[in-house]
Amino acid sequence: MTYSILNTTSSNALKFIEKYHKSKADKTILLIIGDCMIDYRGRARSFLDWGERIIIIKQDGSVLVHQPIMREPVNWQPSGSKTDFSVKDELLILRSHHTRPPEKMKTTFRAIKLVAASKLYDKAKLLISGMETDVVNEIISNPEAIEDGLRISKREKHVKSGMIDLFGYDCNHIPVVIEVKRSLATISAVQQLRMYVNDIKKDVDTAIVRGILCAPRIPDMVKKLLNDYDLEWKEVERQIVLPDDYQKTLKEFSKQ
Amino acid sequence: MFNAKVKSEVLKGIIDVTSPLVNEVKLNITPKGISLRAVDPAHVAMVDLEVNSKAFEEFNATEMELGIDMDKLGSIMRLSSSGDMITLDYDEESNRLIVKIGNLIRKMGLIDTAGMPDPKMPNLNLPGKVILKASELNQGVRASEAVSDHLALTVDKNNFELFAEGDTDTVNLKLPKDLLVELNTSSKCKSLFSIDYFSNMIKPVRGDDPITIMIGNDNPIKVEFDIAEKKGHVTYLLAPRIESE
Repeated sequence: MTYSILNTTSSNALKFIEKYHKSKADKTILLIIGDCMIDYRGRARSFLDWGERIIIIKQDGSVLVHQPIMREPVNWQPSGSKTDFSVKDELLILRSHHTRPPEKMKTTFRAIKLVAASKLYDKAKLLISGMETDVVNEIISNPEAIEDGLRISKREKHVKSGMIDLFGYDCNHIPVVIEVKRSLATISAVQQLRMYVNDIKKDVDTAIVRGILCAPRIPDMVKKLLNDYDLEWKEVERQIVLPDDYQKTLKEFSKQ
Repeated sequence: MFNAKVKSEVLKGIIDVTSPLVNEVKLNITPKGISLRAVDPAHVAMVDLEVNSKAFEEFNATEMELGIDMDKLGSIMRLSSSGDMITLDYDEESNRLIVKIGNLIRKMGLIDTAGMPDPKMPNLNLPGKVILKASELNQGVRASEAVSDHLALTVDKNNFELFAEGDTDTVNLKLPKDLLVELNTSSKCKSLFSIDYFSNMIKPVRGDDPITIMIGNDNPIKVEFDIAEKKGHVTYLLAPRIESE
């Protein structure tokens, strides 16, 4: 169920909030649009003068204050915050607080255009493809894409200076260290790979260990540096595959 | 009119089967016992529960409906320990349910049942039927939780099989006919389900107690078991996930 009121007074807004939101704050989302002022004290101190904004109080207690432009909220309180509502001198006041770290945000409304409350259900999780792990998985399932005869033996191998994305052996049983980047390979990725290779060599200069940097795109400057260090590279295709299975509802079966 | 005396475990059992799916339910009360049917907000799963009045130590009721906030009742029941006797009494005047745990009296406000739906159990063609020990199924589901968010269940003439596949790992549980209490199917059936929902449905069944599963092809699954010392019965329905390749 969704409820709303338009262009209302502070006291009516408070009554509305008490009826539709406050009794079950953890189950309803509250939306307020109006002219407000925001005072924040916590890790820093901020003050935002009067202006028309959108305030969203989510079902987990998070509070977001959006100005009419820009993507990011101008003020916010994290998940687990608690908001109290009151009316003083005909102004609607929201006090949102969070204990760890201690943060307080006070929002004062002098005009209210809209108040809405609704119970929202959303169990879906965002699936993102094209992350570093996707590239890593791709290589694990198809090591031939890097080199014929390559065998991957370990994923996320811990060494002195960090964690190797992929470790394996080539067709001549020479150890191979593979560092994976999800988009552009950088100079620091080369340094990282060099350190991992040295870790595997255990500082024995004569030891033979190969290092391969894998990324969808490797700039010439990075290639040159890799050459200087006797390291290799391989440009790998990044495949974006999102699972396309989906959840059906019981409603779809009621008609059978 | 409704007043009853019930063991803490029985009431907790009813909450355990209902609360993972729905927060608010309409409890139908008759002189013969209580029942409820509810669909989760996403319309993916349904719970149908019947508890005979014999599951209660005392039970006096006329036909009526109670709108109950399951989370609230759950938190009240956490005040009791197993073996406690709980007294339930409906106070018509204040529209509250009075819950007595020993000397503690907790009056719980009820929800208006007017807007609550009466979901219908869909007619389904589910040719596969398996009865197995809860512990076997639980082990497979627990293993699957670690690798994926959905699992495939398959029934054919000789086996019941559970399979889950993640990015790199897989889980497979294959139970041949002789390890099952019952296996009956006219054809091979396979459907995919969300582990989140499915694990909530089998969690309330303990140890070697039997669970009945009815399954079709890309069709909802029916999960049934007894509660309240076999004086109550639960039927769950869960819509499948569909692989579109």
